[in-house]
Amino acid sequence: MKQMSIRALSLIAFTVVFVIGIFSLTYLSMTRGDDWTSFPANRHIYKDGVMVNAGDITDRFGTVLATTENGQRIFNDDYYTRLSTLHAVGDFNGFIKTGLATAKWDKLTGYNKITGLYDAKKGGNNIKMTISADLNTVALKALGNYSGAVGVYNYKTGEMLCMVSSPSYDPNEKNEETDGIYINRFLSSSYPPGSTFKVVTTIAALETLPDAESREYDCDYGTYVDGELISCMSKHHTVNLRDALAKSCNAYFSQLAIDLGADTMQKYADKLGFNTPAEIDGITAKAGTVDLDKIRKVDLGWAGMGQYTDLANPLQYLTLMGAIAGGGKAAKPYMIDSITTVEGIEIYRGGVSYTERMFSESTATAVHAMMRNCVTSNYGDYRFPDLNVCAKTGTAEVDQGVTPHSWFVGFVENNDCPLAFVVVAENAGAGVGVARTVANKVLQAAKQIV
Amino acid sequence: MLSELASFYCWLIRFIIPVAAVTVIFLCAKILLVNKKGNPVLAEFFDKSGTVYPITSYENAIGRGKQCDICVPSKRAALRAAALTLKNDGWHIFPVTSAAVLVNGERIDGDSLIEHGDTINIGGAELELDDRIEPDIPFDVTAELNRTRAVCAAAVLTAMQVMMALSLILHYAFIGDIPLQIPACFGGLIVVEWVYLVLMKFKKVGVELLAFFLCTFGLAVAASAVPAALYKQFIAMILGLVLFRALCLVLTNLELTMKLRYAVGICAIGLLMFNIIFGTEMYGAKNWIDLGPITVQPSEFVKIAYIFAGCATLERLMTTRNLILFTAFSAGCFIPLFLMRDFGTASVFFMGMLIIAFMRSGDLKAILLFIGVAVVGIIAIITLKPYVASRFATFMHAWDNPYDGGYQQVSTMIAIGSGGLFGVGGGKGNLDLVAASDTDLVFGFVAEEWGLIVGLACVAALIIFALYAVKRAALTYSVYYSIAAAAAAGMFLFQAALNIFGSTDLLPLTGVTLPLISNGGSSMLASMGMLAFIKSAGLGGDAK
Repeated sequence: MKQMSIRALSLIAFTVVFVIGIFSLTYLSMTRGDDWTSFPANRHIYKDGVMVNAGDITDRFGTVLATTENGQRIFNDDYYTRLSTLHAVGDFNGFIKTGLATAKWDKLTGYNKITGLYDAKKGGNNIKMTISADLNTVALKALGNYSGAVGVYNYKTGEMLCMVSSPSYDPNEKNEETDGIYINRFLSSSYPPGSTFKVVTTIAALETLPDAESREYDCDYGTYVDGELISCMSKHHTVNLRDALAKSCNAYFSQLAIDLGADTMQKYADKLGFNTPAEIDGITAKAGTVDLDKIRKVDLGWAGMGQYTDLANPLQYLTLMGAIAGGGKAAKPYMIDSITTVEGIEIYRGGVSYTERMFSESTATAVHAMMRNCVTSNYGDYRFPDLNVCAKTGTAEVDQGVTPHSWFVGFVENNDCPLAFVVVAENAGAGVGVARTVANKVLQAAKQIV
Repeated sequence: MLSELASFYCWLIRFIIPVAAVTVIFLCAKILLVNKKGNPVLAEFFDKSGTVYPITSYENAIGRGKQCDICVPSKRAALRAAALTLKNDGWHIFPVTSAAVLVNGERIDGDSLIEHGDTINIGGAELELDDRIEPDIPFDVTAELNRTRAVCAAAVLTAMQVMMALSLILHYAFIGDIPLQIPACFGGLIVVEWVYLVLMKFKKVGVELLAFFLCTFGLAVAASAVPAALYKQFIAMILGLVLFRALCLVLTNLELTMKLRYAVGICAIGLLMFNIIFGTEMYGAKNWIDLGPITVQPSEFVKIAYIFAGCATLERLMTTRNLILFTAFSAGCFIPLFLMRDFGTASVFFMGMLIIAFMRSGDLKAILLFIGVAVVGIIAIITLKPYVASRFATFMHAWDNPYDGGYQQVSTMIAIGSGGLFGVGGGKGNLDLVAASDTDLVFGFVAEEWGLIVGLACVAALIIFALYAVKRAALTYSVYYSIAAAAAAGMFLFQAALNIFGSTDLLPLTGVTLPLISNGGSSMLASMGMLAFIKSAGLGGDAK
């Protein structure tokens, strides 16, 4: 009999294997349960591949952007509202990954890993966004035929007021064109930043060089680095930091970046949000990139003025503008105002939260002043009536023979109208052209609703 | 107002039922697994120096080895010299080696009855038998406690059954007519359960309580998927309980069991042969027999016969030390199953075979040989008959073919995810729209409607069976019970592994049932029969 107790351990061995299997399954269901549940064959929430058992999505004024009626998922009945809010709201079929309909399907259906889809039967939860559908429409119309992105947020509260990606499409129509149309360019793109990056180099200089503001470099239609020309639009002669930023002098910033060195430039690029994907309400954006590892001197010069391999993400840039306006750290942008159950019980409310400090308050004040100077001395303050805009343009060279991207980034210096903005229009030419015009149109409309 | 009350009730019991389920499992684990005092002393040997050798089992190995139940203090004795067995007429001693075993000074060469006062001599050590001792039944403090636990577990279980039945009734009330089967079958189960437990005086009923627990979810699944089939499932449960009791009674009489072994073994193979010739093909396997109004799966019942005929007593273990006959018998069961293309059941048999073979021989090499042969066999089948492998083509790729080959697995995972920890409520799941959801995918079914916690509680019940078999392995009256219990529990667990992991794409989907839960008469009856072997592990101690 005694030997049986040892031989029975064979069953224990199998039991252990079985229990490991059960643990694995439990672990999988806890980690991947949301992927399993959100699969379009799930009849609890989908009908013919469309997630119908989900709550409403409304804009900041309560305009219904997506809802379910009689078991059908429908969007707002205004054509332009549908187009301009599409990327924020998301589509029927889950093609737009960062749209709320897909990225926040769990909130919309009331799913969580503990209670499963029990609450989906009641119709899920409603999400109210901070964006304004009308403002989005203004921005989309202002972009016209250009591809690109526009983002505006309140740098004091963090509320996103406008987030638009172009091209868009009408979700009520069958979409034929698919090339890049499902990408929310504000969140999921990264572009060469061009001269807007000079703000980053400026911050790095102000933070590390005691004589940064008085430092001067020569410009003769550019400058030669190791025998290679880094060209400039005009001959700026001897300029200081303030004027160089206003005139967007390539020679100045390439020499400044070289003097700062690759390590310092890399450190500040990282600090200001490059190489880390930004997030908005838990939705991950594409990371901007700056990689100065083992860089040639002349390339460091190009990198210091936003060319070389530099890439910036619009959301990350918007946050950086918020940090300059906010004295060195930014209110984090958010776009979900609140989530309420169908019974009207609020289960989530968005609110202000801040990034880590990116740079000192004195640096912020100095850059702030310089960006204001850019507008007053160069871009034309009269073009932005009643706004006090501080900004930097960018004309980002893409490829030989291709029209550069047009950037306009900045913020409004006004406590009653604390707006930061990013406009990027693809292949639209100089930053002082399309992007600047779009920015003014959107800011004038945004001013009305702050 | 009434409907609001009803939905509040349905919301509330989602949290109460898991608590009740875990409580029942916990109490049953206590009953079955918490240490008790050792077995009572049935008789004893003593030698001239006055050392006492207590005999606590019906079957005892005598020898020099430390693995023997009675270790004789003689260097000349064989490691395993003799078997001492209690039969109907008294104690028998059986020498298992060629070394001399003397009874009252005379050498014996076969099975001999020894009586009170007789002395045996093994390798020079003289032991005198005293079988007229006061039966020293140790006062078992846990026995009384366990009866209280059993009453509590039964009460909680009944409360859970009532709650579940009511929530299913409410679900059907919302969408139309209430199937009468639900109150009838749940009520019936509760009555049967209490009648049985009262008749058993709540003594040693841990195994049965767990079975009733699992059956409850079987009923709940059937009530949600196919209410019309509820009566059938309920009758299968009752018949299963009858079969269980009958087998328990037979097993209690070990001599009768031994006599029936060969007949049962031959019947098992005969039944499988009959199945091959007259069987009907359903769901891709020809393992059904059509009896007009009902179809049965003989291979399910052969599981019982396989254990019944395959296990052996200590005497046989010590005398016939090879597994030739057992291996031949196993092959006689495997080959028909393969011919029927019932690979799931075949692999469950293989698991049973491994456990029985190892428990009988303790020979790891033999086990490795069996596994080696199986691997070669599988490779041969895949090479020679590629269509067999194609049945398992979507294994590990369910999400790549979510709408065809992997549909069942994907649906099961969706169901588990949708249910969360507390489930969406009885009847409210969507898995019933998928083929075989109440049998092959039943774990997902339970998890979706009653939650993952309840699903894991069901799994825990099966694990407790295995732990119980292991814990009792050396404490039963006969090695036969130890082997049978381990084999039955191992086959349950292996079947559960194939069912649960198969439906969630961690193993190939073979289409075996989850014991005592899956909808289906043959499976239910056979599982209840298998339960008798697990129950037989309790034969020992104060249960005679």
